Amino acid sequence: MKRNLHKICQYLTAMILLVGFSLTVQAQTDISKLPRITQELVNPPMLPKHDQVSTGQKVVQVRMVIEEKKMIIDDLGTEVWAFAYNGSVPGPMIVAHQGDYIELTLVNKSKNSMVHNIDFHASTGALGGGALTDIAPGEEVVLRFKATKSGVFVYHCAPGGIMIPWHVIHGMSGAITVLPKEGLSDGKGNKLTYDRAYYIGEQDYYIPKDENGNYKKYATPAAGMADELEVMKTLTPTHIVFNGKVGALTDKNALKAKVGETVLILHAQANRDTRPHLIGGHGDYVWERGSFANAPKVDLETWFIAGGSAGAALYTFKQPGIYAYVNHNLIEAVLKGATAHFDVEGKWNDDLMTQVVKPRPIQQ
Amino acid sequence: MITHNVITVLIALLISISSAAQADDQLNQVDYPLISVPKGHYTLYIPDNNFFKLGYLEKKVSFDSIIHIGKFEVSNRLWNLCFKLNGCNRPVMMREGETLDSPVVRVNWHDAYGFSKWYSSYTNKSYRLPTEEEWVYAAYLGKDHRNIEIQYDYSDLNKIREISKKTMPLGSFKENALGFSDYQGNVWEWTLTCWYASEEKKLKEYSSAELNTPQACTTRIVQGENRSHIPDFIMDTYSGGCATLEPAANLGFRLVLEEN
Repeated sequence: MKRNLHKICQYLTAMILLVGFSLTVQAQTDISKLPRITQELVNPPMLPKHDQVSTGQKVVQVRMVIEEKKMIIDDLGTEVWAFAYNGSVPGPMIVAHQGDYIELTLVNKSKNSMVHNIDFHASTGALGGGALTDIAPGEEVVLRFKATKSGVFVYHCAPGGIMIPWHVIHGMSGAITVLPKEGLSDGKGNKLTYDRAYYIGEQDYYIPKDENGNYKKYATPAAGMADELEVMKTLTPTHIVFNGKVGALTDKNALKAKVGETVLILHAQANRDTRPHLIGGHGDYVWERGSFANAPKVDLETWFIAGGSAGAALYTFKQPGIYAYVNHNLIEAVLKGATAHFDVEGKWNDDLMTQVVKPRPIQQ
Repeated sequence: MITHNVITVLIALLISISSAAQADDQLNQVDYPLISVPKGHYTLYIPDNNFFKLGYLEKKVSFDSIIHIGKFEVSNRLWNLCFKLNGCNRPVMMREGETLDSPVVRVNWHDAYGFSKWYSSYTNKSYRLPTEEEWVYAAYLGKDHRNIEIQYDYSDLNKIREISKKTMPLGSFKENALGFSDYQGNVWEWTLTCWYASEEKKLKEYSSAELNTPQACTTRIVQGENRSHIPDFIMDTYSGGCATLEPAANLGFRLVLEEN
């Protein structure tokens, strides 16, 4: 069976190559003549500067440096060896338009200890680019792919076999937004725009504990692997967090907005299902499975992001105050960490809600 | 009380050692047969890309002296001798039906490297893991080894197909004209050679002394039924379908004796 699978893999590879070569022959775009922009990647939850409507086909150049580094993920000082694209968990958001080419320089720092690569769910072929981007510490590679589909897509490290989930649960994923050329729409011919956009990467961690129940720390990434695999196999994360650690987007780190502003919330989860919910708000327009070619669902209370995908929700804030944006498995939100806050300024609208009677003793 | 505990632990340890090293009455007779590969030169074909196998980089390799390389992989029996003499940190882990005459598997690169150091001191000779250049030369005797895995006649591999991951006793698989055995069995073997993506580093000549240290790199080439590169701390691989091509069935190793 395994042999057959191997053979099938080889035939598939051969077919992919044949198809690939014939497409190469047919390719018409002279990429060398396209304008190039260098997109400065920024740390989540922010998005890089971008146009909502395309100004024309282009090559979007980005550079990501992979860093293996210790990160504190909660108030207890729990450590994880983060395998961080560009030094952040999640990796930075890339933004382009459908039809653009993404040209990524991927750098594996010399002081890293492992081979890394990148698999873009937005790309076509070669395991999402994974098969063309394996690099050892001290090496770099340049991958170009065409963003043929619009939507929000996950990217993640996929260096083969057991390394794939192990790298991903060490924070090695991010997302790319491929906007339709003409921008977002409601699927009925009406344009949709946003005043702000935020990017939330949800991360599940599996931190081993010692015999006293304390989270273990490891001198090197490899040292933790055997223990971590055992925790991973339970499929029960010890932490489920937004943007790398508990509290990364709450309280003073809350996401800002104003009443009347329309906010695009991009939510990625490379490994595990999640169900975002904006407490006290809604999803006015939700591309639940991430594809902008599908008409958005409207007026959702909670939406579903399948593990290994990203989704988008558009909401116009109508009331001021603190909103919690959670993974609405509330155990995951409250006990495991998957909570963010929106801090919204503006004027309260009594029409939408009012406390008619303040709390008082029960009246007979 | 502490003494009592220590004794209990020691007894438990002794029991586990004796059961692990069961039927090792021949333990002190274990030797490690070598074959001699004549000096010469050949072209090592290094896949440019493991997934696409689009092409090969050609590396001219020459050997000025005979290579003394293990006829077989290192056995469970030999590993247990290492454990018994405190050279290795654990006894072998065998699956049901595997024997002490099977190759030791579920060893990471550091285990294999550590064993080579121990065996060198045990024999007072200089053993190490082979480089990929040496391994391929010993296996294919300088012949064109491109696409070995693709052109391989799988109908001859009934044995492997039936036994799946379980190891077979040394010598159960194919042997070449020089007596180099089991090189296409279900154990893939660690080498000293570091994996790099860049052509420059793939073709660069590294001496075995440069490579024969854990500091040289962290991902090493394994050779066997297929070629792969695996992080040095991995002992066992998991099946992964197309995403990984064929994962190594088992990870083991053989040694080279250096002439001083």
